[in-house]
Amino acid sequence: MEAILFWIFSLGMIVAGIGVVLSRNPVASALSLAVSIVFLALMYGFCLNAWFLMVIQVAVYAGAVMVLFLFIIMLLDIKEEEKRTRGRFYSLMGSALALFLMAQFIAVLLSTEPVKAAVTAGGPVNDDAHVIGTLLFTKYLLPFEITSILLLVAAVGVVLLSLKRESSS
Amino acid sequence: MMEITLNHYLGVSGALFMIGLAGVILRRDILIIYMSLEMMLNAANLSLVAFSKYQNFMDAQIMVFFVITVAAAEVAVGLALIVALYRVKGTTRVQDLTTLKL
Repeated sequence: MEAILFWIFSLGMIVAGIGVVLSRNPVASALSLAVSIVFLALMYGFCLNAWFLMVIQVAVYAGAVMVLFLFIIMLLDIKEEEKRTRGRFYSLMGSALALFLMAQFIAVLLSTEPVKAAVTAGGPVNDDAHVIGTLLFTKYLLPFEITSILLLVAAVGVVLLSLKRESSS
Repeated sequence: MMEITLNHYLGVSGALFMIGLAGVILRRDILIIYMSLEMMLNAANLSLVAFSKYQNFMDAQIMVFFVITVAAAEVAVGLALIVALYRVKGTTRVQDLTTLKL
């Protein structure tokens, strides 16, 4: 069962990812990215038992980040790319580089012993939200607090960046 | 149907990362490049979660949580930068954005 779901999710994820790169329309790219992210979230949940991260992934990425992307695309009114300005040689070399790295990666994975799931060690974690919450507020409390400062800095920075500076001189 | 091992997850993660890399290399619109970067971040997250399951080590999921948080903040700041750049230059294509000084 896990195998079937794994193949479905990974196929959907990779096809949608290729759609991001290949589609000419920026809105189509953004929607493909959203589909890819949703498939990734489903893989977190149904294959990797990380249900909390599945919810976080859908809420933050498919919710907030993608809406932000679509908002900016609509705001800037970006047209479809009208013609290829990158040369054919450039695209060929770029794809070849990515394919070469991928082939190398797969070669490394094939040459290593496949790692089976740790079946018995503590059993499957079903209350992962509970475990993550406990870890987050005990062992990782300081990084958690620092993250809140980071978010504050980001919010202030965004406000500063998007201010129209009036009559600068 | 064969058993899914950690190597399968790492392969999918690598594929997603390489698609993102190809997007960064091939596309010219800075917004699409930014989306491809997000995809690469997601690929790294996938490998972290896979390791977390196969090593039974929940701390990796905490790290993914932080990565998602930082990525959300980064997207907000980056898109604000792109909008500011668009206001000055009137374009988002990378071949027209060749100077650091505005």
